[in-house]
Amino acid sequence: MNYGYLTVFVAYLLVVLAIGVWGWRRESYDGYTVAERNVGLPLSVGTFFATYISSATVVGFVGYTTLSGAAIYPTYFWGFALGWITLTLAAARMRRLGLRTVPSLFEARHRSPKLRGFSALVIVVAFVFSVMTQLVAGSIVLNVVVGIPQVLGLVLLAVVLTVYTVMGGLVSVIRTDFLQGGLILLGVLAALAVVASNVGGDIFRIEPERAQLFAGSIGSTVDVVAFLLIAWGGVAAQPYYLHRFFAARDVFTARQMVGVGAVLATVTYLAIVFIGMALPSLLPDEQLGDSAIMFFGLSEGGLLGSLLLVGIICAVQSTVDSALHLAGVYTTEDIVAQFRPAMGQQSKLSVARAITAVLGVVCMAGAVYFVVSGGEFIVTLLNIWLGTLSSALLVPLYGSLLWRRATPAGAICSSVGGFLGYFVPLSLIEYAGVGIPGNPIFYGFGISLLALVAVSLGTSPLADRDVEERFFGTGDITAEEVSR
Amino acid sequence: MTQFWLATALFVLLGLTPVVLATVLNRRRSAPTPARTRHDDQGRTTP
Repeated sequence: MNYGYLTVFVAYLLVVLAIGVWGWRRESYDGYTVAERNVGLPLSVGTFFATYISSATVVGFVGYTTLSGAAIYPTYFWGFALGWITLTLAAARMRRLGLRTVPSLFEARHRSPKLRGFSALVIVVAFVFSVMTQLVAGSIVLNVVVGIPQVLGLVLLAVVLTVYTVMGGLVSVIRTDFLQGGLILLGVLAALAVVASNVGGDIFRIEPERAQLFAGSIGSTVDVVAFLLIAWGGVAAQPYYLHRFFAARDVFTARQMVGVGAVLATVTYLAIVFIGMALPSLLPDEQLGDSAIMFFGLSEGGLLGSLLLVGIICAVQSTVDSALHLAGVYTTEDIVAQFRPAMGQQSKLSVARAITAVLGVVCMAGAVYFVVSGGEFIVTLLNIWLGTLSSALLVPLYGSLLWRRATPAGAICSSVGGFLGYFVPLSLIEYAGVGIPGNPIFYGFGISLLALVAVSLGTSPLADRDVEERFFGTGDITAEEVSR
Repeated sequence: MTQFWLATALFVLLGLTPVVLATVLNRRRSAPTPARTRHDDQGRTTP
């Protein structure tokens, strides 16, 4: 057991718990779900950035770059940046809708509680798997770096983040994200500085064999298109980010949240690329891959080791708390409240807290089960669910938001068709060994797009002036919106 | 080598686009208009 790192870890947990207790005092359903719709630019940028950077970024992308070099750009980074651009363009419209959840957009636009419930279910299940995987990843880091037994580390991580999320809702999640975002940035930049000094300051000297774009997961231009689609769709339709538009103080904040957040993410990713490019000359070959950044932190020890440990734990918790929070709120608002429409705000608050707590325990138990049983298929399940999320949500969401002619039937067929179009080919490839040409995302996205266009054009649009005005009104920024 | 730096330049260009886009869009202020009608999550008009 490394008691120095343990002290740093415990101190960090106490700080985030204190923020949760602070958020507890702000008891209102609007506070719990959308932080009173009054989040200013610094906190908005902090929560966008911290939620954006998960353990996959800090651990996985460094590892991928150590093995596949510049292929990280077409595999992930270009697509992510396209996703940020899409989010910037959607920000004002989403903010003006004044919704409380992403699935409620379907009911507001199409008067379709069924589509609202279906999309909420897809999102909640996807998030439960996302939480479990991240918890397992965090517990591995704690085990390797601090020496805490994996199950104990996992339980500690899960209990603390569940407690502060249940207590303070989005008010606390956003504040802990702000702190976590700063610590992540600090950890990554510190690692870059140390790597640069270890390679004699020649951090920009790129080995020719690592400069190839066609490496790792990228074997052809078809792969480039597939990964661009997955990464772009995964960001543009990600409820984590869309939900933060509802909490932003105004349209100005909503747009710049993504704008400034993207600058921070760009800096972080560039640091990750150069760290990943340089580590092969500092570590033995067997330490490259997912564990490379941890081995490097351990070999350096001291302040850098502590910063990296806290940075990775922050990356895990800032993503997991958002997923857990949204899973609790969406289950309450889009599923439970549909069966009990008479529920008041205070009852909804209690139900949301209870559901968040239960989901936290379920995720913790699931993650512990996978650790104890040594199961690895959880990562496969996560990939399936994230891809399904992009296929089932991306086209119907943006189609409903931007295309006046989209109809309820078109949106439902697009969502269900996209879900099946991705899930069925992927399952056949993964579990039945059936050879299917191309990437499953082409089927999911293609069917979703085709279904939206064909079915919408073949069915009558909803004749509702309220919907028309709300979604396709003048769109001018009001005096109140620009006043801040 | 060149391929790597071109790929990096493209990423930086794409990564900085949102902040430029947000700044430009936020500056395009129109004349003040009356506040828009409020709606609840079900799309009903509220006072």
